[in-house]
Amino acid sequence: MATWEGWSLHQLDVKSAFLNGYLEEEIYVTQPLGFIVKGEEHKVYRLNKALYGLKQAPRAWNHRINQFLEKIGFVRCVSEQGVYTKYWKDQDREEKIIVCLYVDDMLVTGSKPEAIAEFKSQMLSEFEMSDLGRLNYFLGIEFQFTEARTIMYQMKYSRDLLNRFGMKDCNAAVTPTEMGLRLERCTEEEDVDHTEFRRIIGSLRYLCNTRPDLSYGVGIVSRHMQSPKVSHMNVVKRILRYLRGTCNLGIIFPCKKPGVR
Amino acid sequence: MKLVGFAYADWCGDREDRKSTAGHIFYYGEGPVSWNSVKEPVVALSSCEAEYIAAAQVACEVAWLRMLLKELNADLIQPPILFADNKSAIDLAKHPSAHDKSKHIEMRFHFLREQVNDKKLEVEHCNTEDQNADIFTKPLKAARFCKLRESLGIVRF
Repeated sequence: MATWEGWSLHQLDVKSAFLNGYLEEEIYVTQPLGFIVKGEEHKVYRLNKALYGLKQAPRAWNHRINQFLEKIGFVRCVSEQGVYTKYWKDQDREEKIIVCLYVDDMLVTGSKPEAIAEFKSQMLSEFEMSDLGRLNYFLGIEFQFTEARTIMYQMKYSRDLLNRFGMKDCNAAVTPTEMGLRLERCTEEEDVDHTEFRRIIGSLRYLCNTRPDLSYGVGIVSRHMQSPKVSHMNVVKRILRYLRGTCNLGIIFPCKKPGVR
Repeated sequence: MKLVGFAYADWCGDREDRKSTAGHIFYYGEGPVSWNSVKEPVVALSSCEAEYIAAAQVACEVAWLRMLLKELNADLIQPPILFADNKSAIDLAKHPSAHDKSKHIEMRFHFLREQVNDKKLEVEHCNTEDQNADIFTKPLKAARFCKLRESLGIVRF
């Protein structure tokens, strides 16, 4: 949407986010090793704010950031809880700003660059955070912008994936799945390492976020996570071989042409 | 701004349990925003039914997309359009008729018909050649695969 409208995307990151959460419960911790107060060894600390590792820390953080965003005029989307919006009229023009929150990472975009800058300064004054400027890398996804389009890709992720599973020097394949391929469940074949199989599929599934062309192949092998056999692993390897030759593909989001709605 | 998509199903894609494989892709403007490739939850008795079920599942995704876009204040200039290549499935979605071959289709899949009736989604016909969602339902020959890959908005950068 941002690209379609020609808006810029910016990224913010909250430092040690979970420490910002306020607690509703009474929680005590023992004195940490090396920081024990002499003569008071029998005492414990009562927490004022959340710590990493507490089971309520993520929720406490989300509650805190949610309250702050609402305080500065944002509304949380009902259909997607990680998205916040704010609308206003400026000389009869409808203006908006949209914030996407993923735990402690934020993306912000909107129709007015000044409003984005103001939002950033509001955030910086409330939380300890870093302004990462224009978006270029988010959750393993890389972004490349020009006036006319945005390309979203996972080249680094793909290369790391191939390295991790020992496929970086394999021969490339033209398509991810062979024509006429039929996978069967209960063959007499030998089992393959379940953990390894599931690990590869897990990594490939995340890659499908920028690679719809892999969806079908990854989909059919995902059905055999229960008891993966040699033939299933061969199909996975074929996907990796296809990936080997196509690490430099991404999805393109064009900007709307002038005059188009 | 327009929301346009494709739904397709490969009937009996799974040789063992005879369930079909469904796939869809939706574009916001010209950018791909939603896609998947899944095995359908029930066995379909015909390719028409398989595609009807696929379209019904896409209708759910579209309902969510519409809500989200509304909350984002995006102006949709027309109802989302879903292209399918199975004429009988399209007829089934547009006309609330029940005949012997479709009576057994589970109620939940008629969510599609309701959405079409309420003008929240339009279903249109496209040729199988232009069916972009084909790539999500079966292995393809290299030439066809590369052509569809491009139409999904996948490019070399």
